[in-house]
Amino acid sequence: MRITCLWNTGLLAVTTAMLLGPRSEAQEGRPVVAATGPGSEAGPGQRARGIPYRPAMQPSAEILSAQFQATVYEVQGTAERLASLDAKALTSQAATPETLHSALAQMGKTRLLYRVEQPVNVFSTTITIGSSEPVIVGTRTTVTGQAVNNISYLNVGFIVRLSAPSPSKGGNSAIPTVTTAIKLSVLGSGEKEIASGQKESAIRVMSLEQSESLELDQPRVLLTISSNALGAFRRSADGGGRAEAPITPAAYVIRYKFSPPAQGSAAVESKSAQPETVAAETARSTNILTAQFQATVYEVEAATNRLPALEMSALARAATPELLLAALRALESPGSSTALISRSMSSRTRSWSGPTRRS
Amino acid sequence: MVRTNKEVVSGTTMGRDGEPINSYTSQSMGVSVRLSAQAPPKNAERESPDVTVSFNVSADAPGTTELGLGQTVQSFLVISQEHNEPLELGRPRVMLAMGSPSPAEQTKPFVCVIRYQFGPAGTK
Repeated sequence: MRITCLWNTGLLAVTTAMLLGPRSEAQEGRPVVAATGPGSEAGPGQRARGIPYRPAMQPSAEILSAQFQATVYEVQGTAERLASLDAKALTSQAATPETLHSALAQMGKTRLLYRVEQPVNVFSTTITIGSSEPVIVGTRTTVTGQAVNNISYLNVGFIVRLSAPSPSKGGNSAIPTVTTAIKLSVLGSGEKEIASGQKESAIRVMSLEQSESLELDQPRVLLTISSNALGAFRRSADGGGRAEAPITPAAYVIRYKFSPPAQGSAAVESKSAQPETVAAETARSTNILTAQFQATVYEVEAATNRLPALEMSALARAATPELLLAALRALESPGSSTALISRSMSSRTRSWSGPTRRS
Repeated sequence: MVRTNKEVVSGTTMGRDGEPINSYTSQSMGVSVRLSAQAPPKNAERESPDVTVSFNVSADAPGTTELGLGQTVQSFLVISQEHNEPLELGRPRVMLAMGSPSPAEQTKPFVCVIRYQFGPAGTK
């Protein structure tokens, strides 16, 4: 397993525009008129026309933070075996991603396609893992007899959208009903041959959606079976088999779970005794809040063609980027190499300025 | 935003003397982070703002699909997410995204780990 630190914003200073609390004029609904003269920081259009400045900041949507974990499996097997899969039965075997994987492996060739784990807001979050995969769409032979393939790219991936009705709009204020909408596009082999020994590629697209009351630490399982498998059933029920052979039947199983948002340790930078208070006090006197933002992106190159088993809790405990890198390295497979390539940048972005801004 | 353009081979033809001539396309890769903030809802007890954190990571990955003449073509990943959370200073967050989208047995999966943290202004 090889680890590359793709990108590191070393203490990237971000100036984030914020309107806070009931003290803000904008939040109290009063019109806010900015200085729009030449020395002001209003936009050019506002300066030119002297339009009263109205911050675009809207009150936030509801927030209920949670840790979200999702895994997607593909199971290839006979149509009969896949048809015996049952989401409820699988849920009872889905205490962990590994136990579900083991249960599915008994039904056919099982592959872990995707795994995500991250903090979310159950009221509104979107997660996308997409990739453009090269596929062969044709083959030609050169005058010297060498085969050259024509390549096209197909977009596949996994999209999760979490949403829940706001309590103010009729939702249950105690326990929100969370809708988990999942779109999945998976690359597979088609049936037609485009060259000798070379089959075309096909994409299976699935959409699943489930709305349930939020229940922490309760794994949920969604199941869908490729329609070709059902087609095969119909043909066999008809005593047929006359139609063309279906592509390999496949079931797609998605396990997801919400957990309490206990991530990381907040005991960093302990000199500022109550950082949240600091933030709030800053906001009282100004509608610009400056904070340090640090982000590091790591790419872990797996040593094998299987998804590595990363223990998220071990990663979340890392208090610094260096400790996280060390934690990732500790998870490496024996004999693999490790490289660290880091790039850092520092930038300061100014967003908007209102009438109460102080430099 | 940290982005770079990378030239990747998109096709091959044979020259008059039998030498391969590649055609290239340019792929943009890198990381972009978008932050925005909102005041908490009026009925919320917290005073700190809510932050929308949006990450977009795009990268190339070695592929196994053969173009011909000994060349393979790469695949390209895009990992993005957007969620909002109450601003909490000094608490690191870790996100994990991994996948194995190619059906080819020998293709290695990708694993991406993102760590981010807000801190009080002026700290290092």
